[in-house]
Amino acid sequence: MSEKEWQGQSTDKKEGKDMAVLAKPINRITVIKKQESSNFVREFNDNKVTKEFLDSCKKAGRLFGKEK
Amino acid sequence: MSLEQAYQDFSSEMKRFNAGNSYKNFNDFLVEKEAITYKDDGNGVTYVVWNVVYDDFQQEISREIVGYYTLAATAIPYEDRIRLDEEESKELGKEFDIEICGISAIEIKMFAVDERYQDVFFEYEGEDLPISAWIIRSIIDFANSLLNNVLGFKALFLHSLPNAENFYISNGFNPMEVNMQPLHSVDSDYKAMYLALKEVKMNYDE
Repeated sequence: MSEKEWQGQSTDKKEGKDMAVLAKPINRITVIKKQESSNFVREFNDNKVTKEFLDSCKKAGRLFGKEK
Repeated sequence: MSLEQAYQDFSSEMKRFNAGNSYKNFNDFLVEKEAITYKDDGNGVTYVVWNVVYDDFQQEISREIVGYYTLAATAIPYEDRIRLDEEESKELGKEFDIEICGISAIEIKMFAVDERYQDVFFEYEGEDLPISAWIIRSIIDFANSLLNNVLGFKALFLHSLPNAENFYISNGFNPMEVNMQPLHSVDSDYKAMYLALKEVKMNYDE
């Protein structure tokens, strides 16, 4: 397990929505049936992340140094 | 630093983690050390995000826990078809057979930000975003580097709480339709979402 270190100081707080953004695990299984599969895969491919967004994510990667 | 080391060296700070009173399960996951059992059972590896303050000599003065996230392997199963060879086709009386496939993915099983940082914005290299956005984008960058250098997979996947769906959409994720729920994802309270990193090739349409 590694830790990410955020090197910097925050700016002033701004008004915003609650940012306790959370995800949780669920444990049941469903298989996407063939009729929906082709639609889903088509949509999946159309929504492939852009290079520009990945470049923005690289910036975030630089922001968080790795603690040894 | 391992998770165990973090609990040992920064026990008081780890116990301070608090995403808010409405998120006891997420608080307990870290505070009560459930993250260690989770990792030992092979259910997910937890990464802690710290805000560390250094003096002019690069010596650590203080640190605060900003948030954490937990990653695990998963797959999005779907049906595709394969063309049978001539002999098999004649024997079975059909041209194609159904094949269950999976879109390999990394699931963000847990993601929580301490309430001290929930409304904090940070400007970096010309971009001003909430801390939570910087963290989720760093996860995406980490995943992208893994799939290019360590092991192959095609997507990130998670279940979003209702009040976080727009946040994930703003950070590259897409909602899955009700009839397209993937592995580990059937729960009407939480929205299954994915971020496609690579394309999927399907035989079915051919």
